[in-house]
Amino acid sequence: MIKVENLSKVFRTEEVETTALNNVNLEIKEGEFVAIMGPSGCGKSTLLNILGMLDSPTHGKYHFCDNEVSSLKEKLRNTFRKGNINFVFQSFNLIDELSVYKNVELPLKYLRYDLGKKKKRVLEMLDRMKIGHRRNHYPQQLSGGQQQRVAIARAIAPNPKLLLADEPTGNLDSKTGLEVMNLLSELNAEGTTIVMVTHSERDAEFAHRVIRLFDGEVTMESTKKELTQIEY
Amino acid sequence: MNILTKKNKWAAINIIGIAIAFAGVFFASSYIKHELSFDKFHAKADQIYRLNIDKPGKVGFMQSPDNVSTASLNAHYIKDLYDKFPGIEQIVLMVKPFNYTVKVEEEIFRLDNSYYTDHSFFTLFDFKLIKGNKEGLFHNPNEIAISKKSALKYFGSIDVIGKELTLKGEFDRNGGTIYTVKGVFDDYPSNSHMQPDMLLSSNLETLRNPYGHAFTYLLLHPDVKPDQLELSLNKHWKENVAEEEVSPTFKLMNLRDIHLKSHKKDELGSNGTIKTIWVIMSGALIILLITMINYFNLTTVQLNSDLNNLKIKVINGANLLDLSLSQIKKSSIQISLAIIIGSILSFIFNRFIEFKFIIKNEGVLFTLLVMCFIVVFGAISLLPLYTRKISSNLSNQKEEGSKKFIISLVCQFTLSIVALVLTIVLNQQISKIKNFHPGKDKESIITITEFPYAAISTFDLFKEKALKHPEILMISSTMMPPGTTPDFVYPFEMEGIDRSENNTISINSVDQEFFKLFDIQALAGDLNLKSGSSFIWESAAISPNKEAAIKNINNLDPSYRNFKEQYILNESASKKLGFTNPQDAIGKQFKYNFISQTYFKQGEIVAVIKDLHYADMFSEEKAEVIGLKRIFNSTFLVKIDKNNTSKALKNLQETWSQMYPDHPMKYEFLSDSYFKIYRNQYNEMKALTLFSILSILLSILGMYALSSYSIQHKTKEIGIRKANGASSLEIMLQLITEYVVWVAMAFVIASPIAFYAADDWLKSFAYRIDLSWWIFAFAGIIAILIAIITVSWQTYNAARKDPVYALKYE
Repeated sequence: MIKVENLSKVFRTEEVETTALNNVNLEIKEGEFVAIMGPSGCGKSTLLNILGMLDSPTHGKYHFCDNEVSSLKEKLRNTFRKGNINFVFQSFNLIDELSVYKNVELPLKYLRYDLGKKKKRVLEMLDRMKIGHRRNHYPQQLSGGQQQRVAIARAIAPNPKLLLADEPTGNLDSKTGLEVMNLLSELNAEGTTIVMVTHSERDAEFAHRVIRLFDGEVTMESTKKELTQIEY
Repeated sequence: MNILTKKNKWAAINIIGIAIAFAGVFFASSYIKHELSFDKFHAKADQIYRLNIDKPGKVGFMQSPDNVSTASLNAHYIKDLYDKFPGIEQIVLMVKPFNYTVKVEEEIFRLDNSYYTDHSFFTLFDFKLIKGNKEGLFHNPNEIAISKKSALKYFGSIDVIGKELTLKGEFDRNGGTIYTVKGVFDDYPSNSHMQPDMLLSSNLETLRNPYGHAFTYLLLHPDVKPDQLELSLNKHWKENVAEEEVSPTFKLMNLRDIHLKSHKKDELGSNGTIKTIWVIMSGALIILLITMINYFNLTTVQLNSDLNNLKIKVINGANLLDLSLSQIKKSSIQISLAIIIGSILSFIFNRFIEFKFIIKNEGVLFTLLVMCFIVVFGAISLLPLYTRKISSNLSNQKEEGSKKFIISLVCQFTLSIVALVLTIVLNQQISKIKNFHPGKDKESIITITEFPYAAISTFDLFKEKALKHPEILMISSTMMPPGTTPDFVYPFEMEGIDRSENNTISINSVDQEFFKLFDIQALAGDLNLKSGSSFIWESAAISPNKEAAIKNINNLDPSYRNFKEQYILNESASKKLGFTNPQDAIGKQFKYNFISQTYFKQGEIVAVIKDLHYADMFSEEKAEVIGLKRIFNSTFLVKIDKNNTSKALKNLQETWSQMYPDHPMKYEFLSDSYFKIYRNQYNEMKALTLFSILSILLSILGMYALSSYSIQHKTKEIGIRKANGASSLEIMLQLITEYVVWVAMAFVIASPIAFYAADDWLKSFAYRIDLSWWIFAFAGIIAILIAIITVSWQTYNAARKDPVYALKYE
């Protein structure tokens, strides 16, 4: 599904040039659950943004479902992203002014779902995330775990092929975090490809494979099996 | 650097806004103060009343249409004032000389703005005598007091005591009367309803000439209630007119009220209206309110942006007073700068609007306004600080969102839309005025008025000589100058209509060329008129003594008697006489029963025309029958080649002075005649247009500032939406839609307010534009377009923002 070749990202300001990613190569198959780990500033989020087509690389190639998308303009990237990729963020990124229902409805609105289908799907997602009873509430009225469930409901509402999660449990207590990770695993089991950036080894255990980054380079890749053998 | 730029942007918006508001308020309050100060400088102003005729009566030969009210009285009504009403302490009469010239050495001028009066004028009214002795003035005949301006005009100096001028009326056969200058008075201030150039001594007997009209000013005893006196005056005359006569209705008007409340046919000057004051005050108030809202919003926004710094100051021991002082320091610099710019702007406004008053010597008003602005805007700058508690707890306070600004934004746009609708309505009505009166090209028609009787008798010769100049295209004559209605209302006889004394109709008079000159077509009949009566026949027939008139006519050569009388009806008359189809009136026999009964012969209705609308738009067109009578025609109309105006005017004046050397030509362009009638409306339109543009400009500034603040707040939301599949266009449309919805809300609120205000303004016109829906829709669309244009660039930038950056924004 995803093939990245010699991918680099350089941030330039007037005075400094920072290499966030340096010749990254990786491949992610459909249905996989991959965790990206590494210390702060190693380029995890930058890689996730490029994979999510929110950003474009400075060099290298990025194939998404056999389409080369690295050099696409924003408008085309947006077209590719729409309905295919969605995100779950550490800070939930819900819109405060919109109700839970409206937040979940957001991607469907941009995909021009018809009214009936849209409603059905939103309610389905809310029920699935066990948040249906809160659909008329606003994000500030919910706990962190509930907010993240809304965010996941919104992310999976258009049934994306790829779900990108950036520290999805970073703002949650361990119990709620576990619930969220179980939800992501369930989604993966149902066929959604998941790429997750995390600092948490526990969360990484839910992934099939872990990619470790350091200073913008892939330093190690390990499968779940290998992962369980590593001693900390 | 960015913060600095942003702060400068807010400061610039504040300064521009306050400067505009200051200019508008200073300009408007100077104007209003000037309008409200009329005639207050007279020490006895509260006791001085002018006696006016509110509704004309039908006494003797003095019969006027019902809607003609006058500022002057016929002497017939004046004589009883002296001995029958003890509450009147003093009476001052001012009589306007008609058609006089003044000769200074060998130069002849028209005598305008001058009045006969007696010594009492100088004891009743305040004035500043620059030269001469006040006590000795006007105790002798043939004395003159002259204004400074006129002294300089006629003699080139103000040291003119003892100098002589010759006044000559058109019927003076002795070369005129020599008057000696006994006093020079300072020009009357611009806030005086009378602006006399010269005062001519007269005695009471002459002033009370039974055929004359006098402006009658009364000094009432302090204990006299003017309402009571008015009742007694009306009662007195009601009891003292013959049974078949109707006494006029008299009204006392306080001297201070004349300028704004009196709009009689023969006012001494061009009066203002309270409505103009309201319009200008509302305009200035709209601007002030919008600016106050903007200032409050921007100060709040600045405070929000500065919240962290403020908190740090609090942590380090600053209290609310310290924060307030620092805020006042900042705002007073902005306010002071704005006032300086605003003062300059107010002069520009005055020049743009060209009101005939000067913003100077308004030091007190200026100082007062400066103080008010400093206090009001200073207080506004502190409001956000006091409405929001600044705490040292850095974590518990967030910047306020932009929702609280919606109400103020809606208020601003409501006010702007109201101003915009009113501006469109006023402009529409003014453009209706421009096309309402006869004469398509009013700059190419000249009216000549106040000429000697000799000019009427030699009209044909003047016309023949003037038309030799190719730039002079056509010459016609009519009864009244533009903007006025004929005063004669008499009974008539008409085939098929019962004769009744109560069946009266107005008479107007034109000559053959009149309809061609104005390009007027007949609704029915034919406007190719025959020449009508000759001047010789009319002179013979005009005598009020029927027998004498018949004798005079019989003495004439038969060729003068063989003309056919022709009558033309206006549409209102045709309807009044019962003709649903104007064609049915054609050929009917008609006779007008004027006071001299032979003057109008029986004749035919030859044509029906649309209502002329020669007078004004304030009153309904009267039913009018139009005859062709030379003696009645005291206004000449000259159509000239508009590409050769100066040459045409020069030749016209030369022809005139060759024929009437003792009477300088008094002329006016038709466009100016009508402009004078609607001077107040033009002023209102100009002021409101200016205020409307400014209010929109201020609202744009306000919206620009708020939208940039609000869009900045939405940066993260934009990122989230983009991550969820929204395109830049969708984001942009969504952001713009929010503003459009607010402006649409403002439109809904503004529409009924604007409708009420516009309808009220239009009420003074008998002929007015329809308040069609498109005016409101147009204003709404303009407001929405302005909103879209104002926020487009910012929304475009926001929508195009890198989602990665947007998502990180806190």
